[in-house]
Amino acid sequence: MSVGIEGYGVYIPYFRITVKEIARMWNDDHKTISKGINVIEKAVPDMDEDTATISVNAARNALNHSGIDPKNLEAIYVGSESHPYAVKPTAVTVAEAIGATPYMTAADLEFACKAGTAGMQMVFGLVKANEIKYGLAIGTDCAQGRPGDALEYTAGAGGAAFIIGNEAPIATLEGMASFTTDTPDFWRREGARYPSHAGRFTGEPSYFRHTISATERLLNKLNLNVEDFDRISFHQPNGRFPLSAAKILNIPREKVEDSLCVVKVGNTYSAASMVGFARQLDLAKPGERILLVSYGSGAGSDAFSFVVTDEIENKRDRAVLVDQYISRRKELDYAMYAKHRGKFVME
Amino acid sequence: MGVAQSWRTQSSRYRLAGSKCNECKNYYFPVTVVCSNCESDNLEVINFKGTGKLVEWTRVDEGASGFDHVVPYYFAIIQLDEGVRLSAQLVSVMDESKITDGMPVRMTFRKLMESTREGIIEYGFKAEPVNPI
Repeated sequence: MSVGIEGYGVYIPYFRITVKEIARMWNDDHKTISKGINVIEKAVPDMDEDTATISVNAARNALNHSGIDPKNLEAIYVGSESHPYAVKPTAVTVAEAIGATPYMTAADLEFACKAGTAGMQMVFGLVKANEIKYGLAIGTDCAQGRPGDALEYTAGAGGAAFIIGNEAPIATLEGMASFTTDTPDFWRREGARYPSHAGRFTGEPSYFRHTISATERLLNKLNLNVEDFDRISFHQPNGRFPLSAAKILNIPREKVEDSLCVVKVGNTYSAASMVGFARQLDLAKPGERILLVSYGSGAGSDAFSFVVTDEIENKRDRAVLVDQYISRRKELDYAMYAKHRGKFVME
Repeated sequence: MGVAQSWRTQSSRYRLAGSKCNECKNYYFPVTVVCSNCESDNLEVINFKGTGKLVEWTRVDEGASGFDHVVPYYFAIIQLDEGVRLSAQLVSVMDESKITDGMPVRMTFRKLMESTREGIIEYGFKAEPVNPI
């Protein structure tokens, strides 16, 4: 059996703040902003949620979906730019909480919004090399945007977990390719509370160049065309960029639209392309081919091609659907949002 | 809670580890070494499934030290499917008027406490409604 996804799970906090409410705070025109970024609202973590808790809950959903014993996981990687500790891995808390310790390896990864797919690549490599039977790759973030900054409209929270193996995959891996350069479009210095970004520079030389180049590299490697794909999930920093990337690649927007969770949960950073991929899997039928392309500022993109197997139907009833988390929502006003995100200095 | 104590109690907080008496089949939470029902020491450590029902709950408006900034919150007594009862914070409540005794709940993973900005973060279980309310 080929290497692929044995099971997956997501977790999205249930609080939301709308673009309209954030715009009210900063005297912006919410209709113009919402239309410009194609985002209506974003997910906000509860006061007791962080990257570790979201990762654990996503991992538990993935375990239930895969049906495998956590003791068989031999590698856990958590990609995030909002790990709770500067020194002490999130991955060990996840491993302990799901019962995967101690005979396993674990590490935290960072590469802006593509650290989760970097983890997927590492687990695929270990499984393909027959070093491990199963591994878990997670992308999670509780993103912070500076109050009043454009990023505040999109910086959301969520996580996605993928169990990789070669026993009974719901989608097999056809191939993967990456495109990486030193492009300073978005950064956060050590100790800085909020990230900085280079405005429009985050578009053309950054998101689009890397996303499109990684996609084209993968297509060449596998001798495929964009028409060969039924479903696509690009990284979604907003709801506009993935559709623009699709247009550049001559991909019909219908193939991308089902992945656009960003419209209702915001940009979940390391989780964004993976949550979109999870939603495509929720809707996929056996035989369909899915393209997943992440993008992480700094900058790089990882592209993957998957083919959905008959096994997806056997595990369907065990999946907690992405839409179940999207529809579970409670709105916050800006004051409560500020409290949730620790924007008040209390000491 | 000190670092060593936090580490020692990790399995119960992270994975709902408890004990099952292999003689009289009673369950205990957290882990114990002697069955208080039949006094046997033939117990094994098990992880509870984490599903159960709400027995009682209350709304806390005057939080304990360290929790004063998160009020109001809900505290509950939960009966797990295996029969044991435990206390836990009830989270993911969107509409307080829809909390009902006996409603199905499951355990979710949350931050329990963060004593200082530079100290250890305590993680563990809290309860949430199975069906969103």
